[in-house]
Amino acid sequence: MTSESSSPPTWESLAVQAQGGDKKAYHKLLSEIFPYVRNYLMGGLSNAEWAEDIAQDVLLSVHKSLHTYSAGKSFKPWLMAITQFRRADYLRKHYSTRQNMQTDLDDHNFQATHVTNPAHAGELKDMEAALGKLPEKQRRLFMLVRVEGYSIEEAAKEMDMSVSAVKVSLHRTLKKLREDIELS
Amino acid sequence: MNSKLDTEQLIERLSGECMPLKPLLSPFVRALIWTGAAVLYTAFCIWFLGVRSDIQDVLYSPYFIIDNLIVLLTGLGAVLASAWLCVPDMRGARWMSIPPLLGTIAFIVWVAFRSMEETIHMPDLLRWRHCFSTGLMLGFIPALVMALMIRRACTTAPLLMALMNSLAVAAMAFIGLHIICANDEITHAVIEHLLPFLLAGGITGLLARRLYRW
Repeated sequence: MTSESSSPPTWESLAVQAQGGDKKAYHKLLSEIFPYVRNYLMGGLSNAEWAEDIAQDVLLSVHKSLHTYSAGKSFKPWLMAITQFRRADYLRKHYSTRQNMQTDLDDHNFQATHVTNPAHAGELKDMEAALGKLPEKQRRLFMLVRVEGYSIEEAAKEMDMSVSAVKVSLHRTLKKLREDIELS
Repeated sequence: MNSKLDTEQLIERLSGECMPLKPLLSPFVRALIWTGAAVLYTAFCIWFLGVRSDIQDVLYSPYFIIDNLIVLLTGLGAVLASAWLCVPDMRGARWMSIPPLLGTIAFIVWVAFRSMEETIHMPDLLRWRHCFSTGLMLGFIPALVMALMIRRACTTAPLLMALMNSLAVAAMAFIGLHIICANDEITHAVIEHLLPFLLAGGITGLLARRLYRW
């Protein structure tokens, strides 16, 4: 979306109409500036949730300060000044309350960055597919020892197998997985 | 914003609250209103507290004239900058904060020059209390009016705004004090007429983000 003259009405004219109390023009203005501001913020923050929050803050600030927009002046510098001000406010508050050192387990951005490394996401899918091809008992044994942290003895007891049988099974499973992943 | 308001709902709510707005007055008019009000108030204070007895003589003193001229120009620059820069985009005129800062530098240089010319005396504590209370009286109301005017305008540069506002108020009060107080020594002028305002300006700067929050 641009505010250039090629796509009237411009943000300038919408802002002036909104100052006059035109609800439809104001709705259109807010609807158009929101994605613009959010996309601008995404460029610098790389955090979709922050960008969304700050862009909403910007909408509220535009609402509070619309009377300060001067008709005839370009709208974008006015909007961007508010955006940068709110961005700085948000980050200052975020870091002063040490929120950067906390996270929510439901935070998808955090998980995407720190838990599931996007660069290795394909490898994990390959591993899941290779595990899926294993017989149920062999897969269960592998998951117990290699994922859930059971010792060989504990896994043997759990699966009602001898210790040596567990060792042999794990060795074969690893070999099979390696071959499958290399083939894929 | 912490609450995850749905953006569509937010836009609906805000556009539903849309009503005709009274645009901000032009910055020149706002500057004129504040200056007019501050001059009238300062004149009232001078009338109430009394003009210094030697006013007829000092009006022709070059020191008195230069002191007040530099401060007056700095103050006017600061008032104009306050009025122009108080909106979010600063009307694209951030440079307006430079003349008052240059005025401040000129005043510091002038004070340094006068300090070399004059014999330095320790400040008179009794007079300090008198000048402090007078300065408080001269500065408080203009500072309050200024803060209210700036709060209405939604600044995105609270620290700069606090600096400009402090310079404007300090300049007005400094001139008022110069007309009331008969002590023209430079140490007295700086320490007892100006320093309290600089300290008040520093405190305003520390509180600027809260003071001008919107």
